[in-house]
Amino acid sequence: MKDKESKWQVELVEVTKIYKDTIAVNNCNIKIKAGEFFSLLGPSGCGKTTTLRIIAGLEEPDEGKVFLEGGDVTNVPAHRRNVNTVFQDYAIFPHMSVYDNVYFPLKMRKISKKEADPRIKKVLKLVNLEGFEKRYSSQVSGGQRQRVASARALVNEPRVLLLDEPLGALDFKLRVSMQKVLKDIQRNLNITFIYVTHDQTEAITMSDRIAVMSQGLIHQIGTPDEIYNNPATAFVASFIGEMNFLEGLVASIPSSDTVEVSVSNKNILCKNNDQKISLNDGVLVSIRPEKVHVNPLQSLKNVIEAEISRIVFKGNNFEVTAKFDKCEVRSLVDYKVWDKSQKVGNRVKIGWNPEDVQVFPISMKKDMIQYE
Amino acid sequence: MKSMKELPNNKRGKKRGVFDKPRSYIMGIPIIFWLLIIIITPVILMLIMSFRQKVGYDISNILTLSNYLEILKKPSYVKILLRSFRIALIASTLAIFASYPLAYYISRKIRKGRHLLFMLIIAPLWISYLVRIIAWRAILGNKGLINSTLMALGLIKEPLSFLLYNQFAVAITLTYISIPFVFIPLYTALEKIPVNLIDAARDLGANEFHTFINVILPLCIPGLLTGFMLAFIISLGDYIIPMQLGGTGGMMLGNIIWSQFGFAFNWPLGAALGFILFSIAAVILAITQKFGSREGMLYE
Repeated sequence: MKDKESKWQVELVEVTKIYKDTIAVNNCNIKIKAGEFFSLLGPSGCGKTTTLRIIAGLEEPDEGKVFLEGGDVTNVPAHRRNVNTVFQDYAIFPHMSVYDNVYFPLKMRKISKKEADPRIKKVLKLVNLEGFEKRYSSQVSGGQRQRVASARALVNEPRVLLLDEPLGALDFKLRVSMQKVLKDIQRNLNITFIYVTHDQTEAITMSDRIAVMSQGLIHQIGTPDEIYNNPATAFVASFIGEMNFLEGLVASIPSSDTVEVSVSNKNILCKNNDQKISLNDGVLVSIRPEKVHVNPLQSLKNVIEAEISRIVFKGNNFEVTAKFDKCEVRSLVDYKVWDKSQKVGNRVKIGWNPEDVQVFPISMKKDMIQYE
Repeated sequence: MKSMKELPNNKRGKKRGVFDKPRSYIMGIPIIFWLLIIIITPVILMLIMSFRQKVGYDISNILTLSNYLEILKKPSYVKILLRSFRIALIASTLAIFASYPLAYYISRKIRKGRHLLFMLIIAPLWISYLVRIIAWRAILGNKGLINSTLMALGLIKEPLSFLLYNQFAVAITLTYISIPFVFIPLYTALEKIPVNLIDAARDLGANEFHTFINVILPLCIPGLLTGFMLAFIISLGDYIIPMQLGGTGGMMLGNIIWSQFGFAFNWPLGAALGFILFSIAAVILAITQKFGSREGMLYE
C-alpha cells in the first residue's frame, strides 16, 4: 500500500464531512510536507478541528481520502495510525499519574514499564516536567497539564503530531512561552506539526505554512508572508491582522496589473490581484493600517485629503482614524514619527502605495469577519 | 518552575468550605437538629432497646448484654446471618453484572431514545414492591411462566420445584429489585466520562477493549461501588421477598427481626439483631466511602 515516492507526508484529497445539515468540511485539499509546521487557522466553527480529527482518524470523512506517507488510511482506525494528538482540553486521564499517562501509549504497544522508563524520562525532560511523575492531573497547573498532554503524544515518536488549540486555555504570557517550547520541540525532533488555532498571531509567528478556513472551506494555503501580504479572499484579508475596507466601483483598468477604483468620487489606484475584475464592477478595496501614511513626506500615487476623527495611543504607535466623506481609514503611525501637535478635527493628507492595496469583488463582503 | 515544584499541592489556593466562617455554623444548626430527630434518635432508642431484656410479657429497664450473647450462642442466628450475607452478596453481584452492560450501552453507544430507555429501566420503581414480588412468584411457580413454557415444549414432564421457595428464588428476585438502584449510579458515572478521554485513548493506540479496561472501567469505579452498596444494603435487610418466595430454607435476618417484633414479642432481641444489621451496613458504607473518594479526581 505504501508509496515511498510520495513527497507528501499528509494528504487530504477532496475531503468532505457533513453533520446533519451543516457542512463541517467542504471539499478540502491539503498537502503537508514532512517536518513542516502547518497551521489550520480560522474562527470557531470553521471546520479546522474536524479536519484535524479526520487526520487523526477520530472522524470518518463522508467523501474523499486521507493519505499518510503515501498510504491510504481513510479506513484505518485511530489507534492504528502513526499520528498522535494533543487535545484542546488536554484529555489527561484523571485516574493515572503523570508518569502513567505518558506510559499509556507505550503500554498499548505492549512495551514493558522497564523498557519504557528511559523513554518516559526523556520525554518528560524534553517538556521540563521532571519531578512531577507522581502527580495527578488535578494536582498540576494548566501549563503543566499542557506539557503532560504534549509528552504523552510525543513519547510514541509519531511522524505527525496533531495539536488542537493546545494553548487556548492558557493566559497570554504562558501562551507565548509555550509557543516557543512547542516550536523548539518541533524543530529539534523534526516532526510534522499540524496545529489548529483561531489565534492568527500564533499561526503567523509559528507556522511554515497556514491554511485559512471559514465555514468548512479553505480560503488560502500559503506562507505567513503570502497570507498576510497577499490575501486571496476578503475573508482572509479581514481575518488576518488589521485591515481597512472601502467600497467602490472600478473606474478604469490602466494596465494589466493595476486597477483604478472610485471611492466616494476619489480615484484610488490599486494592485490588480483579481484578474477577473472588469469595468464598473463593485469592489472592496483593502489597505493595511500600517501602510497608510499621514501627511506623507515621500510622494505617493494615492493621496487623499481627510479629517482626523480619532487618535488612540497604543504604546509603541498611534492609531489615527481619518475621515473623508463617509469613509474612514485607520492608520498606524510610529510613536517617533507621529506629530504630537495633531488634534482631532485637523485636516491632513493620507496616502499609500498602489502595491499595498488589494481589490476583491463586492460579493465577498458577506464572508468577511464582522466585529461589531 | 523550581519553586512551583516545592509547593505541596494542598497549600496552593486552599479552598474555603462553607463551614470555614464561624457564622456558617449557625446555618448548620437546623440541619443537625433535623438529623437528630429523624435519624440519630431512633437509632439510639433502638440501641438502648437492644440492651434491655424481656421478662415475661414485660421489658425490664436493666441494661445487659444478654441479647447479644444469646445471638452469638444460638447457631441458627449466626447461620441465618451468614446466609443473609451470602444472598445479599450474590444478589448485588448479579445486579452489577446485569446492569453494567445496560448502563454501558445506553450511556455510551445509543444516541437516540437514550432517555426513554433510561426511564424504562427505572419504571419498575413506580410499581408496588409487593406486586413485583408476586409477579416473580407467577414466573417461578409450578404453573408459572418458566414451568409451563418448558412443559409445553415437552422438555420436562413434571414442573421444576427448585425454582420457588428457596434461596435461589430469593436471590433472583433481590437481583431484579436491585437492578434500577445499581443502574442509576452506574449510568451517571459512565455518562460523566468525557468523550475526549476516550478519543485520547484511541488516539494513543488503544482499541475498544483496551480503552474499556484502562479508561472507562477505572473511571466508573465510584459508580460501581455506590451501586453495589445500595444493592447490598437493600438485599441484606429485606424480609418481604424471603417471606413470600423463600420458604423455610430461604429465611433471612430480616424475617427473624420481623418475628421478634411480632409473634415472639421480644423487642430487645429484635433490636439487637437490628443493630447488628445496621452495623454491617454502616461498615460497608464506610468502606465504599473510602474507595469512592477516587471520584474527586474526575470531578475536581
